[in-house]
Amino acid sequence: MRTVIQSAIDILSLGSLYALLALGVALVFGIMRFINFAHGELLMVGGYSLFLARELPFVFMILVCIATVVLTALLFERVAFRPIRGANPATQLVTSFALSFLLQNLAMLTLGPRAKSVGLPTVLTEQFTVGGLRIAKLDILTVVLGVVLMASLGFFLKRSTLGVQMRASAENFEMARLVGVKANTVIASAFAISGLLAASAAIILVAKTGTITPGLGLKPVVIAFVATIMGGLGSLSGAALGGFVLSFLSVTLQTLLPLDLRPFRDAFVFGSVVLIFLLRPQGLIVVRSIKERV
Amino acid sequence: MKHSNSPLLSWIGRRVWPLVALIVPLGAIALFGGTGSIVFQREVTTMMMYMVVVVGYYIFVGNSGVTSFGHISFMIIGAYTAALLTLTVQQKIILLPDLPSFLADVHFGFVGGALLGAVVAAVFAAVIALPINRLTGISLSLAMFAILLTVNVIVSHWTSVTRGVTSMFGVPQSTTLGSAFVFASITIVAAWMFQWTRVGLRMRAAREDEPAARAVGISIPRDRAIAFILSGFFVGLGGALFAQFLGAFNSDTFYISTTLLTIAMLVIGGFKSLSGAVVGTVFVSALDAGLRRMEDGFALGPLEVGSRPGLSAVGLALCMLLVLVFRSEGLTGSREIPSLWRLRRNETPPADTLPAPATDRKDVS
Repeated sequence: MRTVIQSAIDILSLGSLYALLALGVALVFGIMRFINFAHGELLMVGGYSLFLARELPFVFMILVCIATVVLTALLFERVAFRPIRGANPATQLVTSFALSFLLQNLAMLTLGPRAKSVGLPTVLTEQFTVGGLRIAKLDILTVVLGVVLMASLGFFLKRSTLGVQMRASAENFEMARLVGVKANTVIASAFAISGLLAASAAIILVAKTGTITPGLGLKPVVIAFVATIMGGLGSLSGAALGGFVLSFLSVTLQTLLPLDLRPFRDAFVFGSVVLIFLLRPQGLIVVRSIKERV
Repeated sequence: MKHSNSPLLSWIGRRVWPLVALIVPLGAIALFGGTGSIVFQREVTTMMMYMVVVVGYYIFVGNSGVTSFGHISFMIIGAYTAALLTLTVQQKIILLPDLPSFLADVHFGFVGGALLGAVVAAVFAAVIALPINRLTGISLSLAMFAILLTVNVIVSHWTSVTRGVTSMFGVPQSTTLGSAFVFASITIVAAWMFQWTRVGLRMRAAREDEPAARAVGISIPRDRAIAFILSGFFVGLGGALFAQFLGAFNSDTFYISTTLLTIAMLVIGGFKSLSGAVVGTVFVSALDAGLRRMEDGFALGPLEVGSRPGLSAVGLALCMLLVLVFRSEGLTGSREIPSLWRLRRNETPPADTLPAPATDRKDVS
């Protein structure tokens, strides 16, 4: 029983992190119809900004991180993605892949390939025990942050003018533009929010591992992709759900797999995702506006 | 140039000439490479092996129009298979004492290792072909990326067979410039023939207009699965050649940067035509080799530039972004080499010599 509750906590905390990652990717996808490979490099930029601001008080570190990541996301949109808006999806995907590779190697060229470490306040990594359960404060923080961000994102999309415009653009971009929605504003806000989500995920990641490398964003971004596709492309709730399903698979396999197979856990996780694709190639939540109308 | 009226001439012009126009210059490059320094010879051989990988990759991507970010997984499988088969039995006892006996007691030569590497990669492709090809567009691209990561996780941890991150070494270095050129030519011919088969033509039709293709009864997943397996075979062959060229490699040798390099070759050349794949490979190989030489440090007049690791990757990515932003159909504009003879008036030109159709659809995913 105790292991079940312990796992449930792990699933919730890891799931919140995965959901934040997936939402960042899904939000941009909803409007632009392309998956941003360079989302992982937003995490990397966030990590390095924490490292560069390590002398500042903790609150300022967080602010610097958020500001840098949001600005980088806006820069991506302006420099790389605006010129290829409307090009075929393969071109857009390859562009974001090239951008991601460029940033990773720029980081390697300027800051070196070796891992940098940042000491975040130890309060975050402390654990406390309740009824025999070990709970890290970071896990609680992750869940709270995840819930707060997801709730406010939902509120923003449902209630604010900009949010409604974003949903309208995700539904039918041409139509939204015809009734006066400004394309550039909507797309830039999508990137900005995706940057905000990436910054939060970067802070959690760095607090978890304490190290920053040029390849920091690779694994999280793949998790975000798989979660987004599994949830159903174009659906934000699907992306969040996909994040939780992935964390469920990952934590459960970690507990159930025999010791000598544990290093292969990720292979099993992705393998089971391929099986989910066999059953539901459209993802868990099917969005109708994604399918091309003829 | 005179107008040709003979169907034979027209057939040669359309089907044979573009192939000759690709392979003959490649042969000239191989001959020229053979006269150069050892370093230059190795650079040209590397280019020929990338040709096998990129043209193999093109068989799927070019015909389906869907990019895959996981084709390097076939290369990994081809490379490890070839290494395990060409190492001598004594070497395997020392390097890999826990190897299963059906692998430990066999030994193959260069061609055997290369072909079996390709076959094993094709079998792997066949296993994943069905679930993967039920997906479309972006989902397929990224699911393949997940496959690449999975294969990497497996080869890095399955130390009793792959030695993981410590390197696999002692593989006989038998890939030569000549043999690499021969395999590159075979791959180019195979890709060209495939794109004129029924399956190839149906796939290209579906690439341009998926709903219309489905409406005339084309089963897109089945056709794509066939191209996927063939593509897996040649990418695996490329991996097997690389293993027998490098002699030593580890689980990170063929990974993200190889993925980017091969995608760059295909996209910079123009991913919808075989000529694009070939031209892109030659161009990017030359660029990469040049940047690598600069990476080791060089003197620009009085200016000493020290060694800068990572420079070649940055240059490559920048070059690729520039091509994508300013010339998204690639250097060749995704067209094949035009026929040597002009066509008769009343004959409709083949689809590949037409300018690439404008991509005005924004909502296709």
